[in-house]
Amino acid sequence: MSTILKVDDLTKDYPVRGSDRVVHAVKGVSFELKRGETLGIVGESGCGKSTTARMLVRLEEATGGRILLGDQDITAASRRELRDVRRRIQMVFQDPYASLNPRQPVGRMLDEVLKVHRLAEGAQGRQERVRELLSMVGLPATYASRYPHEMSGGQRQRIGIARALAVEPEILILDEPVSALDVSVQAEVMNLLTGLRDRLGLSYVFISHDLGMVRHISDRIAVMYLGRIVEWGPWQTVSDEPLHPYTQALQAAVPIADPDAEAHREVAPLRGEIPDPANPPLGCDFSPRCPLVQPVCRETEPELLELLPRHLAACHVAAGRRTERVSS
Amino acid sequence: MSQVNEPVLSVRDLRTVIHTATGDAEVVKGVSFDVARGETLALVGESGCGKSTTVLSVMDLHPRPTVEITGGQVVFEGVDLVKATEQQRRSVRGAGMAMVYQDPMTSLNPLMRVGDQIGEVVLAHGGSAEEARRRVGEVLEQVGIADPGRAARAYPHEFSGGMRQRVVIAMALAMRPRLLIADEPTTALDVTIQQQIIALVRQLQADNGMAVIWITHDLGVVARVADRIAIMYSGHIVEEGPSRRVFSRPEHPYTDGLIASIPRPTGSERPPLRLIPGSPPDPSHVFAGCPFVPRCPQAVDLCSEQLPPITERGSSSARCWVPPEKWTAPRSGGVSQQVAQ
Amino acid sequence: MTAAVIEETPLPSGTSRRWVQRLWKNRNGKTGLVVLFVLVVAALAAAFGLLPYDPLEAHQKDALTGPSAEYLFGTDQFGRDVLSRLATGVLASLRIALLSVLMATLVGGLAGVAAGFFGGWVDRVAGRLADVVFAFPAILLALAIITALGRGWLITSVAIAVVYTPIFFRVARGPVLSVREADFVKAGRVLGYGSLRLLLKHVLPNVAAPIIIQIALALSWAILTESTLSFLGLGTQPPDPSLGLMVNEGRTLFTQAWWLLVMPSSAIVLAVVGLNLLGDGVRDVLDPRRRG
Repeated sequence: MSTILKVDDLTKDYPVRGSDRVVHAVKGVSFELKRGETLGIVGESGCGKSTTARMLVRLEEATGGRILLGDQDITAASRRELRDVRRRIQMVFQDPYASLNPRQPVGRMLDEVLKVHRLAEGAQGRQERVRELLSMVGLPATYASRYPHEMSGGQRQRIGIARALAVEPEILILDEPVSALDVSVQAEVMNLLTGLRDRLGLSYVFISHDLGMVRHISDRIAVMYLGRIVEWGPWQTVSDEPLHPYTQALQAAVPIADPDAEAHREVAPLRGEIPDPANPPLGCDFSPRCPLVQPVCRETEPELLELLPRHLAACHVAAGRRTERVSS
Repeated sequence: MSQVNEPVLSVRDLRTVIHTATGDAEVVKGVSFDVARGETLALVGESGCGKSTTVLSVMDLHPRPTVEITGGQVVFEGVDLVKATEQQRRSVRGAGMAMVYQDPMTSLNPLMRVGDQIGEVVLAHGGSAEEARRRVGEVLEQVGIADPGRAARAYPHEFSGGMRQRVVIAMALAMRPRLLIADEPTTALDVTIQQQIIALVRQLQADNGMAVIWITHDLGVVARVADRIAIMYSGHIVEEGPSRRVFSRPEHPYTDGLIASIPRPTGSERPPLRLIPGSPPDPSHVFAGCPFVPRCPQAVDLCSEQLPPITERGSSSARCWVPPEKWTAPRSGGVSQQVAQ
Repeated sequence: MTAAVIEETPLPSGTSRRWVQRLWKNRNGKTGLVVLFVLVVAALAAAFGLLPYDPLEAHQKDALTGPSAEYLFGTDQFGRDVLSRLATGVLASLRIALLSVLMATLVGGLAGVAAGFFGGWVDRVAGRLADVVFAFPAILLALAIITALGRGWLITSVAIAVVYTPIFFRVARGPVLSVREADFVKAGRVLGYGSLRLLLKHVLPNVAAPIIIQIALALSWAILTESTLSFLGLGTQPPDPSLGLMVNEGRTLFTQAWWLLVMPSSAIVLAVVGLNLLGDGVRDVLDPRRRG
């Protein structure tokens, strides 16, 4: 599979208001996305996953690093180049209530995208395409005349997806696309997303705090903590046999909807809270909360290393175990 | 000394109506449940199902006059609060039963020191200043705050989200309530912090035998916290029973659908998620029969004509005309089978 | 694949009606519309000379007659018809109010939208200017302008407009600031929409409601301010009738002729309350989430 998107040492700093300090929101994130692949990015609040998403579509300017779409660097694209970039990479937002213009009927919303990018011949052609887009996301053509407030949350999120698909992109950035939906509606949108991906050959960056959803849809999973990717690898090993103690803690913290399984999972909660990103700890960011912490963790920042085939983790302890296993 | 099985709270046929410009809507349509000492009841449902209105009615905190209790009983430790005097209700509220809300930021007064806010609860219920001060230290320690003395002098914004929720819980504990109502207390929190809060509430419960009503839409949280489960849909409790039983043998197609719609937590197979078509109805919608009919794969003609009664099925009960053995559409078979696959 | 096309869910009723019709269905809106209608009819009658008497013509022998069939609202100390004078006063007030609000909306509203949307130095400069104007007490500022520029209805309009411009600036800027950050505007950026398109098609329609509500409210304040200025002798000049002037004149004769004070005062109260209700009604109607 060919690489379609390559992110290289991406960083984002925010100045702290009223001081000369900066918050390092994203600290040297690198990953690649292959054609047709879904990369899941999972992490808790403040881990930098949404900032990363917004930089991928240039809603946020990167402080450093590159985002290569083919050989085009998105972070350096001119206004004209950006227009072409945006035909190839689109975004679906978290809140289906806030992400649709409340004064625009759905048909006009989709029509506008087609008009701006001259994507269909004449009003007739656009109308036909709007109908097609609606049916792609499983909505009847009559919904073209509806306003957002005349639809349910799930239906609105379908419109958000249709709007992103209108430019026929190759990549969709999905920023918590089901988090704001009711439980019974989440499944519907997840199925729609997997179906569209398989039918249209789309590549996804699926961003969520919900490990269960990320596990369900991703080919590979990246786990972020305090602005860094701490683990990255195939979906099943990252979610079921994680190497990094943070991923292990995250997995243990996610409750399973099965009382019997839960009864056997008495794991002590992770202590402490996510550190202040403006004032990160020395060494490994996770060291103050880590149950496996070693002296070295408080001194040196661990590197993201390939500890198992195609499975990377940034952890001194996990890396040490790996070396032991190799040498013995 | 009350017996273990005797309910702390017993709600019978509770009905609550919201008055709006366009008419009245009954959003709690005859809800009954019990919570016993030391027990956790999870009240589960999606947005607009009436779960929050139910507990607000129980707590006598429903916004008047827009929201009005029109019938039923809320019996707390033998006293029917619906018929009780305002004074009786006030002595129960915050003392006999206390509430923890979803958003720890808005449930604390940002301009008041944490210790004063907790102490105020004690003072409001007739405690002395000395008592209040002592209690503030005690409850802050109980919820695992490292330096209670310093914490009491801090303002809410000086705490992180998780710590704030601990403060809110400490405030709820101030009068040693026999019932704690937690309305989505971890929804706004990160999952590792959620785990801490769940562990905290369970510890408190083990220590003092509080009954807990835990409102949530997250079946994972339910599995972790609940002894018993009540599933709400469109103002009704559609299924009620012991946690394990409900998860392993759901008696209502809605429960079955909810369980099936969650991604499998383990295994290498990832089949498409089973889904419940459509979305939850508007709370004001009036149905002739069962409100779940438009989304129900198992529905028969009778379902759209008449609201099914609550039927006992083993240790569970469900509001459904069609027993699981007569379901025609495929079912999840309960969570254990799903996980085992 | 394509997930099975989902069933069409029923539409909430009453969404397609035109907004004027919806305003009529709203209790506040209806009252406001009725009041506005009465005021406009009175003003038009005055403008086209359809009044029972010439407002300036004195009927000396009928001076200070109470309300009667001949003089519906009575006469003043010179025997002039109070109804005719009142209608002419409403015309003068409405003319000044409309013109001043129009100027304030255009200048303040546009500046606010631009400042909110583009931010940066545009916002800082416009914001400072608005602060400076705001720092003066409204009436004092209007008085100062009139003293500097002279009297007359045009200058009165300008004075009132200057006072209300910063209010429109703020009313427009606030919502633009929040709408600019809304996800649907971000989605538009990701879709490659230009700034002008985003501003005109996505931001403006979503901030129109507060501005329109503000217009209805500002009209009522402008009427009040004009009356105050005339009461103080700085607005409309005698012998031309004006609501404020009539209140001032009626005040001294109240014990002999109550109608001279009550009629113009009631007209002011009616106009102010009516336009406020209209503002409330418009707010209810313009918010799509409040419909149905």
